[in-house]
Amino acid sequence: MATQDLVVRIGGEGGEGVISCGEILSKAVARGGLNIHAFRTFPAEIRGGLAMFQLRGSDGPARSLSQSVDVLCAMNHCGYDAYVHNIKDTGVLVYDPAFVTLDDRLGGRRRIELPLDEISKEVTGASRAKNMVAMGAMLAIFGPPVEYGVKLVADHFGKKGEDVVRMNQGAVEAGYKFAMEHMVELRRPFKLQPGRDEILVTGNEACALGAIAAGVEFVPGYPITPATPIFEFLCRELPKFGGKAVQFEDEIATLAAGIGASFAGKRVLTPTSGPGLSLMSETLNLAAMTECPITIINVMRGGPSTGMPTKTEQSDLKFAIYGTSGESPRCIMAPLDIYDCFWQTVRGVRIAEKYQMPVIILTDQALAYTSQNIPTPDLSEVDLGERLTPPLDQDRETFERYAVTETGVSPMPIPGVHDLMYMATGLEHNPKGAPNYTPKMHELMTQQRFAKLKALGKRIVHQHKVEEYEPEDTEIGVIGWGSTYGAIAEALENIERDTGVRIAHLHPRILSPLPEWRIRQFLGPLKKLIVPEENYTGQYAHFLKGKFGIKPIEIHKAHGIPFSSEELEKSIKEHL
Amino acid sequence: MSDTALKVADFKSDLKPIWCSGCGDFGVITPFYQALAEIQAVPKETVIVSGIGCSGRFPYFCNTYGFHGVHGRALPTAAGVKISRPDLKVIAVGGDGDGLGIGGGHIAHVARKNVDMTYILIDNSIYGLTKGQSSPTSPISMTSKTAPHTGIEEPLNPLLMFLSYHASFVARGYSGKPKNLKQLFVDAMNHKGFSILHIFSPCVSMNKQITFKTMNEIVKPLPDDWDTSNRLAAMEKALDEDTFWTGLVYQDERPTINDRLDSLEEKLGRYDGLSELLGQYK
Repeated sequence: MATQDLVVRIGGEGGEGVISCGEILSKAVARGGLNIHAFRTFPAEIRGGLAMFQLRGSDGPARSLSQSVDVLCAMNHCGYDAYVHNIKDTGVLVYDPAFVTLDDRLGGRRRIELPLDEISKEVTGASRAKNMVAMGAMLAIFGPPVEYGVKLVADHFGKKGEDVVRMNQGAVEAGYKFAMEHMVELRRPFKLQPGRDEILVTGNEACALGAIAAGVEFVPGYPITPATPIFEFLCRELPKFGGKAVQFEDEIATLAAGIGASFAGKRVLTPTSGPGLSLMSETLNLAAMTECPITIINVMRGGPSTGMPTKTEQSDLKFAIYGTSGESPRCIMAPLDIYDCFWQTVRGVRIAEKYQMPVIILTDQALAYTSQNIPTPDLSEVDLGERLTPPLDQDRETFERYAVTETGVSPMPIPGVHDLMYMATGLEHNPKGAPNYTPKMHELMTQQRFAKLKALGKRIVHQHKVEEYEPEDTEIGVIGWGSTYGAIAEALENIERDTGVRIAHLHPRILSPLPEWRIRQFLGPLKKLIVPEENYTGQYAHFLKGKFGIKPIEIHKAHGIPFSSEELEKSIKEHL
Repeated sequence: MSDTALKVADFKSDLKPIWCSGCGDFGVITPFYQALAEIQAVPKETVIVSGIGCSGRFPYFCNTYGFHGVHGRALPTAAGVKISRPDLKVIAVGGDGDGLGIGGGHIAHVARKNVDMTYILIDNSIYGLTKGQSSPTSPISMTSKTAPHTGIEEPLNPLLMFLSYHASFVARGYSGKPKNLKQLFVDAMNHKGFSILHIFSPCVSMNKQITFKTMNEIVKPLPDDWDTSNRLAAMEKALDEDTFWTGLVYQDERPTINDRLDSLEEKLGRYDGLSELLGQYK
């Protein structure tokens, strides 16, 4: 049976409660048994300006944001004005007639009046609860019973006292009732599956939870949009797991402190965004040179410079791979959805510990602020991985901290534990750790450091299962990375459904070192490779070109907003 | 002392210091070894972190764990060691370029955190390792390879800065008086909180203006009955342009960042595993 899908956007002004309306609605719809994909944009100002919350609910997978909407709920004219053009031809405008003036941009699309302000005043005596009226009405369209909303309102407003709770619950019920009377035809025949063991989290929350699952003990940080929520989360929760999250004066001090803690034997992670990663580039090299494990979650935003802090872009990839003086190894990863944010964070910390090198996990603003209901992670599947340390009775005379090994990994003593005092230094050094600038030593130790990437590259070959799609009879393939996974997968499904053309899809989670053997195998039968990215210059395409000597068709988008499946479908079709 | 007690020699590494002959830094490291022996530091529980410059080589010559980081970042690196591993004894070492130039922004914040560690700032008013450029403490009258005609910037007053940052232990020393230094090191390492030692150590190769000879004329120990709790009086001494006062200038005791983190942890209590937190998102 075909899956049902509904996209609702609530538009209004900052301060009107658009976001809290959306958050409660998301939770009610998710608990009510649909898969959701929720996205929000904040006005640049704290109050005032445009605020938008978009909720996609589906009884199939809801893997991407949708560009166009089935229902636009305009709380006022500002919400109408900004988004009326996003309503599908078959879509509907739901609006408060007291605050929205319609014009011919609406065209022939349907419209339904929803007197939010009037209902709110009638039920509660004030306009303030109109966002809850909207919430109730939209919940009715998605289908779960009103009780889901009523219960969540009690949780949400509980601290403000019973009166506030009752007032808002009244608003939700009135909205729901109004929708059942006037918009019942908007309801879809969803197959609701309530009662699933799920959590509803944003990408940032999934990363922070992943960090805790990964046994991270020390989180130095510096606030930076859009990574700040990860740091705030860990400042709030990590002490309750016996860990420490500490704010430093800048990103340079942050990473330096992280390296100090890592040298002292702790599992360390820090969240940042592009400008912060830039400041970290010198200390990042120090981590690679001293072979101290450290994990950085870099939540990409629109660049360059201060750029667009609240917008998304996939434009830090080259910097993450190459941004360094000299040459030093690091592992670059990119989770492909919210569930993956949790698991790739766990995996990133494990790789850092096992290979004693920096790991950079690239998420982006879109993923960071999107929320989805995902299966509650099965914690018994968490594989922490251990740092290689020497035996306690290791003889100090013969011990070499940077011993040459096949994997590039050598035992790391821990202060206070091992009687193997050594120097960790950013200077080129010999296996003992003593400075040494001879040509032979520099070559040997460079090889030794890069041996880690080679060893890791071999290990990741077989680890791409979920994201693969490789029909046998295809000559066209797409390679994507990071948060574009859902939009690409949906676009390819739609193309296959509409045209019968089957397109292969590979979406590596570890971007560097490249799983070379796997990519060669994928490229083998292909005549055309398409690489879509949310940046201006085609950074991953260039990386693939350099490694494999291929000429992919590049699709770039650098608008500060993510690809939708519709636009990818359109641009991929142009190359068929 | 018992037979198992560690001696001064036990704190020296196999590597002999490679500083220029007559370098003031010898007058710093010798009393430092003595102080480590006096407090009976445990080598495997001691971490010395340094930045870049002649003084950055300091940990190589000590039989402890050592970390030779990037320019200017010894302090935050050391803070990371100490905050995450409060059981370790942590010492950061750096010069005037490292600590007051490129890394000058960090001291204030480690003082605010009151990280329980010692910072030895070895000041020679010149960039010695790179052979003679101006430093943040070079007098305006001094010429150097980057001020070949005349100085164009006024020097910092490190002691006054550390006092205004409210570091919980501020001392000043002079490598020409190593005996006094030993006691300052002992006091600094025994102090609970952030202790900072500003030590003037002449560069015999590159700084021809401030020498042992000129320093000997202005160095004077603080009076025996100096009140180390009077921050304002300490600032007056720091502002004294004619005399380079040495000794423990200021000290107070207040909670360290680890004290605060520990009591926070105790107040918050523990989750019964990650599942409990995940439950809040269901």
